[in-house]
Amino acid sequence: MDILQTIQEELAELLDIEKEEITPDAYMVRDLDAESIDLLELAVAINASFGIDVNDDEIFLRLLREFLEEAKDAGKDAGDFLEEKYRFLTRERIDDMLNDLQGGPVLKVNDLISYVSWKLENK
Amino acid sequence: MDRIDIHTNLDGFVLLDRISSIDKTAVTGHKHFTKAPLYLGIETLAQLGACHVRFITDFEKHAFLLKVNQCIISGTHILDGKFKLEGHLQNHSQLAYTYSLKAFKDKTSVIKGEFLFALADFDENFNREILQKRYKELLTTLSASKLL
Repeated sequence: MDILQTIQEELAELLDIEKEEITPDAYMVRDLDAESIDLLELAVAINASFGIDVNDDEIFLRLLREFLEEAKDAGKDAGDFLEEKYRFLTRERIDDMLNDLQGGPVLKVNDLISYVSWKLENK
Repeated sequence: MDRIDIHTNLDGFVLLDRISSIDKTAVTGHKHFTKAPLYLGIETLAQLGACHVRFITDFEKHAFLLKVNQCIISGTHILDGKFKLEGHLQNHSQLAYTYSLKAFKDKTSVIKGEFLFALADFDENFNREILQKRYKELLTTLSASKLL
């Protein structure tokens, strides 16, 4: 099953946008205007399509900024800390996110793909 | 702040009469309507689904209806008589649950739809002590009720 294609189809229906707009590099909130209700529905759709347990906090990076505060308070390196928390993301992606925090929510379509791939590999 | 009175023309907010079976994936309820509008049937199904979400999550979070998809109404526009209500958990994530919920009269489907519920932490608006106790008691009461 093509993960990108499945997520594109689900998002196109949920957000009422064209599939072509949903590229791996698109930001879920900044570019696609996804709202929290859309993400909840998407999480269930991903569970249905791929048969994986979906943790909303993980897949949508809901606790990202709390983790950054936690790392700071504990005197830990933010990148190392996030790498432990988000095992489905590469270090390169985490570093990109850390450099991109000022722009708003950092979640991208590709992060969802990474999560699903990681879950399927570890099923 | 001014007080606003809302009149629902209902005796109470709990519409379910009884829950006859409940397990990890399904729930069955019953309701006797007396010339009730359809929206009360949809609300009753939503209450059945929410009961199930709370049950399978051990009443640890506040559950609420988020959306109804593909609600199909057939036959009557007035609900009258005894209805059997069935709910089946379809899919879920950590925080969202979809159900197929149906209302039957005389084994004929009258309302069916896909209902999406979400979970949220208890907080100052949704008080854990009050709501958790209330929802546990409600399920116990509905499960022990006799069919009207």
